[in-house]
Amino acid sequence: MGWSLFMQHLVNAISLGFVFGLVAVGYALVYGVVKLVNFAHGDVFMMGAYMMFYASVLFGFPWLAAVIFGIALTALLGVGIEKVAYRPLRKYPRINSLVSSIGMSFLLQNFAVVVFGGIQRSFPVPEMMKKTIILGEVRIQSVSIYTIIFSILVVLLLTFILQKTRIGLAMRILSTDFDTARLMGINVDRTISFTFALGSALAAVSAVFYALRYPQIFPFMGQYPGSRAFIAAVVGGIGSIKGALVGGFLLGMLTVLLPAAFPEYSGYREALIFALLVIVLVFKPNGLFGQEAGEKA
Amino acid sequence: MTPQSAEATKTIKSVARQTVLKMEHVTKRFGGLVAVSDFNLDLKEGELIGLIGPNGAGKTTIFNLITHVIPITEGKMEFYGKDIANLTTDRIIRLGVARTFQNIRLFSNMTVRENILTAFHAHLKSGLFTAVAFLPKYKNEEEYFQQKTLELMKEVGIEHLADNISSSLPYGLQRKLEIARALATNPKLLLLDEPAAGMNPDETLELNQLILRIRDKYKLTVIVIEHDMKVIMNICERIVVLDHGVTIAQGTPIEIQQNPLVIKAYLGAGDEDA
Amino acid sequence: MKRRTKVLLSLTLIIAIYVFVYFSELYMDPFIKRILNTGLIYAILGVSLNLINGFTGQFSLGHAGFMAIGAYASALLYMSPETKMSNFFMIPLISPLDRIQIPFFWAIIIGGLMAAGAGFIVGAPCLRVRGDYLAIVTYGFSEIIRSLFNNLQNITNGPLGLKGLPTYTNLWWTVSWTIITVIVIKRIVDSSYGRALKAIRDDEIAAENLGINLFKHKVLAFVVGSFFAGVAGGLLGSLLMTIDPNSFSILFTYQIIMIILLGGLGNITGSVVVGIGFAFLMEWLRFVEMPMNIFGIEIPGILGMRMLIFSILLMVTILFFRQGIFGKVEFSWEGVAKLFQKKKVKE
Repeated sequence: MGWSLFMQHLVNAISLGFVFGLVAVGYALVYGVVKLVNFAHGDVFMMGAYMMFYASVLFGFPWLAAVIFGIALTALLGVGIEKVAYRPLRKYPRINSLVSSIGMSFLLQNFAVVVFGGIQRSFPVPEMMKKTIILGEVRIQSVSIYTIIFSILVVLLLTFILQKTRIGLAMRILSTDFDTARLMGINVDRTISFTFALGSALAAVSAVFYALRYPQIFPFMGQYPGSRAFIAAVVGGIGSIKGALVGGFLLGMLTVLLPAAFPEYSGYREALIFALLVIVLVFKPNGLFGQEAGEKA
Repeated sequence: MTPQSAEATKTIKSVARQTVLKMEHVTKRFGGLVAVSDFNLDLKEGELIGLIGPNGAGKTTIFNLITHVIPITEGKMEFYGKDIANLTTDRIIRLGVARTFQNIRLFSNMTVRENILTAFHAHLKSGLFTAVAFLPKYKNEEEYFQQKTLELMKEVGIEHLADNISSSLPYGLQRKLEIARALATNPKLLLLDEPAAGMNPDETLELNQLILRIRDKYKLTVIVIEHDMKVIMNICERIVVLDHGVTIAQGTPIEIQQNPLVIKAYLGAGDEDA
Repeated sequence: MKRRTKVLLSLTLIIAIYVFVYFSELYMDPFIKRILNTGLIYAILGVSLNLINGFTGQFSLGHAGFMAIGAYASALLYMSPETKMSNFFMIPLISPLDRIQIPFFWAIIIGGLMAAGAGFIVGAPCLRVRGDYLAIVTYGFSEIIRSLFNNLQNITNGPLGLKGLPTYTNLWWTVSWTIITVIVIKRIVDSSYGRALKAIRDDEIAAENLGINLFKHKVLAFVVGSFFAGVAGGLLGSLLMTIDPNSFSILFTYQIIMIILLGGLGNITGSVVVGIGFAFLMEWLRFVEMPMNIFGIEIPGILGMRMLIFSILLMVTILFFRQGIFGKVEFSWEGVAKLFQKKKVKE
């Protein structure tokens, strides 16, 4: 593989890595705080894409406004889902919440099929993102550059929220010790709502970058990125933000570079990635960066 | 010393008995924190000893180490001469160690009877096929388990609640159920973790009698963790005192009661209970 | 009630069921028969998944993967060499599969055994993994199977799938396998092993501290559960006459999860009734996808309405009927006897 081709693949891989990383982080945030495997995360991602689509196409919002509107609505959706489907089950065994998130995933998908229609729609891509930048022999999609730049900004913003704000502190405390947090006077409900809002917003942001790369949106589009989120978060260490990002990166790299390096085996990519997941979990049950959190007598 | 423990002490001092549990220089570290430091124990068959100490002293940790709920960091552990330091929990239980939990871990969705019946599974000899096909070998085992379950329920006095859901029992009876369930695994060593917690003085008296009775009837060796001195001082022949993971004293109840170190660390607070 | 009485009653019921099957095979409308067959396959899937998820409390999302293994393994064995040749026109099927053909019954058994083997391979390492993660890992396994089957063209014919499968599945097979599944799993659950599984579900640590080997028992549940999933897969293949890797996706597993939820986790009767009911409900709900005429207003059919209604039903169950429709109530001869006693008193 020539140098220029490799660079193209690399940029592609990095930008895809960021997309997967952001979805994974949104998912890991929720898991870290509420210890819930949110199977509906990928479908919230999908709803985000549709909301931006409709804002732009139906209501004629300019692109950026549509995106911001979509992100805000998706955050609200996340909060709503938590209130309706997860909060009432919090006091019951974990399996009820798990099953509720699966049910929610199912509901969102079928809702989208009925309300949005099953056929694919074209996500609006603004002109400046359609350009190809040429550096010497390397051709880079401007989408990739924008993705990388804005993803980094989002990660910085997220770090700021988590480290420097009160609500971020509350989230970190809740994720470490749920019961003590309550005793310390932290408004648990409000913190959890905010976590879902943040996680869903992240899903929406990653949906933007994903839809810019793959502009065909359809009701089941969240399945694939959602599964990437699980794999990334679990491999990286479930509940660890850093881990989710690293995991997402790894996945992005593998997704692009594997077929490029071994085109004959490209069909097995999925099998290999899931096999990687299983292997990591078997040898490091808490993921690469996860902590040993055991419950003993 | 009460008449009960005086009697007990006379019996054990006369015969040279096997060592049930030997723990040598057992240490447990969690990262930088030393939970248990250089713990030593030579427990003889038939002994009933107490393990006391302030909260967080490491008592339950010792139980967790014996049953390998957590692994020991250093030291040796032998059960009837067999090295158990690296065996899995279920293996150790099947060898003859049983324990109850500080926070009662009953199967809350099962009835009293089912809770005890489940404990017999450890010694089931029939394979899955035999059980599913309900062959005579299994049928006999099942009948035996049912019969023994009834006996155990009667032993602790809860047979009239046999088909009640275990979580519906009053706290004191739940503790007794846990003991009955532990007995179902046919143990030689019984580890009781705060069995008297939440009991009133009458119940505590009953508990003392129960423990002594089952120790004799089932030929058990018993270690009791307790804060309630009405239990410890009345039935234990020997007491080990822990504080911050370190053994600060070992001896008879009278010796412990008079030990200044113990009084300083613990009994000062404990006197309010006794 | 004496055990012997119960056994006799059950035997009578089974004979009655077979009489019903005999007449159904002759006279039942083929459309209804097909739904019933599908429903019974769902029942087998539900009961087998319930063993793993409901009774042992292991949240597995891998059931579709085991189904796929059973479906493909059995199909490749009971298909005739000619049908195989016409399917594998792009890349030929590997030898000796291209020449083998064995009777349906044995093909189903082998399909089930292969699925059980997969259950062991999946179960063994996966069970080291913490509860929530198990869902993800088993989901991963299911996707690995799907990806593998999509790619191993010389074994599975890839995404094209297998078409023209002979229809061996009929009520005799589906009813029989349902009865076998229910009896075997009920026997396990009612035995000492069942108590161990339920103990693991209720409190793993307590179970372990009663001498129960967690690993051995979890794997047991996985292996038995996946065996019957494989059988169901094999039966389904012959019913639908065509199979492809993508129909055995996580979405299929979700449907089975829904069935055991609605019927009640850990409730065998519930899984059977809801499994069969699900097949009929899905057919009946087709009408919401047809154009309708209400009060003279023409309402166009909306595709996907069926599943949407089902999803809403499911969420309602999850939120308000956490124990499922049947909760803890199971079919039992004692229960039936009580019903008759009540009736007698009334008279």
